[in-house]
Amino acid sequence: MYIWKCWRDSRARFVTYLILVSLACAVVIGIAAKMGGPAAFQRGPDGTGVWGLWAFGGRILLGGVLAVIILFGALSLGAGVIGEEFKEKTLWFVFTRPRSRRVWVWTSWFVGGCELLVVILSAVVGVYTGLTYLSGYMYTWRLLATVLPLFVAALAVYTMAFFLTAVSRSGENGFAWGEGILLIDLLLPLALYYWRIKVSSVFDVMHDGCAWAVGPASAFPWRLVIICVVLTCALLLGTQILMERREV
Amino acid sequence: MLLHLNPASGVPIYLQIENQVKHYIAAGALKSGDALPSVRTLAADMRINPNTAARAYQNLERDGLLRSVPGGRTYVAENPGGLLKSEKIRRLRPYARQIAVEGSQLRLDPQDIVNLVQQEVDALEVVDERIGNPDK
Amino acid sequence: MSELAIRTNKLVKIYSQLRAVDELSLNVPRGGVYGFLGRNGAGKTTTLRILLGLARPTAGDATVLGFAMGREQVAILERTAYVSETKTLYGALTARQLVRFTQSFYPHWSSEAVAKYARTLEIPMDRPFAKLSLGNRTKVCLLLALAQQADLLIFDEPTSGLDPVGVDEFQRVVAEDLAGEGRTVLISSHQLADIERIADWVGLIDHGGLLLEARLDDIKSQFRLITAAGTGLPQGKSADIVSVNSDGDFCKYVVRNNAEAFAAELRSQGATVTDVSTLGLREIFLELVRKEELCTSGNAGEIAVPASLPI
Repeated sequence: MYIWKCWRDSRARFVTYLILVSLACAVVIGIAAKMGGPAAFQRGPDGTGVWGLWAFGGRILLGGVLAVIILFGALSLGAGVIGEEFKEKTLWFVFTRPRSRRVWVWTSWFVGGCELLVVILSAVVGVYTGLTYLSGYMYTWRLLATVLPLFVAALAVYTMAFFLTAVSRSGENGFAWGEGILLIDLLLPLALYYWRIKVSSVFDVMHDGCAWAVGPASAFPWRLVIICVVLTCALLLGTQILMERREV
Repeated sequence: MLLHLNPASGVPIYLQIENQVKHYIAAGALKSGDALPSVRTLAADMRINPNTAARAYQNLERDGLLRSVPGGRTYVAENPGGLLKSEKIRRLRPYARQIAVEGSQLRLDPQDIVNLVQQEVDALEVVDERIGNPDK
Repeated sequence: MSELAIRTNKLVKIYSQLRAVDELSLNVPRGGVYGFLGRNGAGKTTTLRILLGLARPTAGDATVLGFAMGREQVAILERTAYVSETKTLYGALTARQLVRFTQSFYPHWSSEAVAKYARTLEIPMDRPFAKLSLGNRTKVCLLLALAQQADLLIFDEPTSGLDPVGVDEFQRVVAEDLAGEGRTVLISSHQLADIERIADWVGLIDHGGLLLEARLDDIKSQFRLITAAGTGLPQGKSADIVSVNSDGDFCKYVVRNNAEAFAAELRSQGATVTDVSTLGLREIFLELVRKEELCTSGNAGEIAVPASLPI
C-alpha cells in the first residue's frame, strides 16, 4: 500500500515531468523534420538510419537541452518523494508501523526511480519512433540503448536530491541544494575547460551516450556510467543509514 | 441500579460503589435475589475500569451482601449481612465512636446524638425486615 | 511471559544539556490501564517516543511486551497501537483510505471494529484528512489504533480536540472494549479527571524522573491532608510528608503514607488535629510537582473523612 501512496503523492510531479519531456522530444523531431526534409534522414552503410541531422538533434538536443530538462526533473522527483513525509509530518506514523525503516526508504526511492525510468524510456522511444516514422526506415538500435546512460545519470541526480532531502528534512531544501550542486557540476567543467582541464559532469554521461549512438567513432561512456551507478548506490545507502538513525 | 460516582473524590471508586450498593440494600431498593449489572456492563456504563467494579463486587461478596454464580451474574444475597452479630458490631463501632467524638466536640447533648442516629435508622425503610436479622 | 507490558530500566535521554529522561524505571503491568502523568516538558512524550523506536535512548534499556526495545522493535510495533500527540496523517487521504492503507500492515485488523467505531465516534469517513477539525482528526487516529486489535495501546493525549460527547465515548470504549480484555492501555494525558475514572495504575513523571508509581486505589487511600493547630509543630518535609504549609499556629500537611501515625504523633505532642481528609488526583499531582505553597484551595470533590474511619 505504501507504493500506492508514494505514487499518489508523486503523480502530479511525474505527469508534469512526462509532458515536459515529451514536448521537448516533439521539438527535437520537429526540428529534425523541418531542417532537412528527406535528405536529412540518410541511410547508413548497414541499412539503418544514421545522419548528420540526427547528429544535431541527438547531440545537442537529446544530449543537451533535453538532458538538462531530464536532470532537473529528476531533482524534483527525488526531492518530492520523502519530502512529502517531512512536509506532512507523517514520519511518526510510518515509522511506528511494523516495518524496518529501510523498507520505507527503499520503497519510496523505488517508486520515484520507476517513474524516472518511464519518463526516459518514453523520451527515447518517442524520439526513435518519431524518426523512424518520418524517415520510413529503422534507426540504429544504438539510439534505443541511450536509455542506459540517460537513466543512470538521471538516477544519480534523483538519488542525490533524495539524500539531500533526508539530510535537510525538507523537500524544498533538498531541491534547492540539489539544484546548487547540479549547477556547479554542470558549469564547473565549462570554467575549468578554459584552463584546459577536462572534468566530466553528469551531463557528459548523457551527452557521450548520445554521441555513441549517433557517431560510429565514439566510445560508450562505460567509466562514467559506472561512476554514476556507484554514486547512486552510495547515496541510497547513505539515505538509508541516515533515516535509520534519525529521531522523528 | 443507578450509581453516582465522583472519580475526583478522594474516596476510591470501588469504595463509592460498595457504599452505594450497601445503601440501596439497606434502603430496600435492592432486594434479596435481585441481579446486579455485570462487571462489564457496570464498567462500560459508568466509564470506569472493570477491575474497579470487580473489586467492589468481590468485597461485597466477601462481606456476605452479594453472591455470584460461577461464570454468571451477581445477585443480592439471600441473607445479606449474614455475618455474626459480634462481627457486625465490631465493624460498626468505629463509626459510632466517631459520631460520639464529633458530637462531643460540637458540644451536643448525648441524648441529641442518640436521637440523631435513631432518626437516620428510621429513615431507612424497613431495615430490619429487609436484612432479616437471624441473630435476634 | 512477563507480568509487565512495559518495563524500562534506568532510561536516560539527554538533548544537549537537557536531561529529558533521567534514569526512568517504569513498570506498566499487563492488562491494566496505566495513567502516565506529568507536567509539560516532564518527559512523557519523549519516553513514549523512545519506547516506540522514534528516538534512541542515551542510556538504559526497556522491554515492551517481552521484546527488547531497539533490537526487536518490529515485533513490538506489530503488537502495539500508538496515537501520537501530533495527530498528523496524510492530508489528501480520507479516513476510509487511511483505513485501507493501515490495514495492510496488520493481519489481525478488525473491519468490524472500524465499522463500529466509525459509527459510535461519529467519524466522517469520506472527507480528506486535511479538511477535518482537530477533534475529528483525533478520532481518525483513535480509529486506526483501535481497529488494530493490539495487545498494547499507547495513547498520547487521546482526547485532544474532542467535545464532551467524544470524550465520553472514548471513555466507554476504554472501559468496555480495552480494559479487562487482557489488553494493556497506557494513557498519557493532562485530563486528570479522565485518568482518575479509568486507571488502575498511575505513574507521575517530573523532570524526567518518576515521582510516583502505584495503584490509583492505593494512592487515594494513602495520601491525606492533615490540618493541625498547635505550637511547635514540625515544619520540615520528610519521606512521608510531601509538603507543609503553616500560618501562625495552624499547619497543613500533605502526607503520602502513614497518615494515622503522623496524626497520632501530632496529638501526642499536644496539637489538635482538626481534619484528616482525602485528596483527589489533581491535588496529589499538584502537591508532588509544585515546589511552593500548598495548593489545596478550591478542591473539587474533597470529602472530609474523620481520622479513625476504616477506609
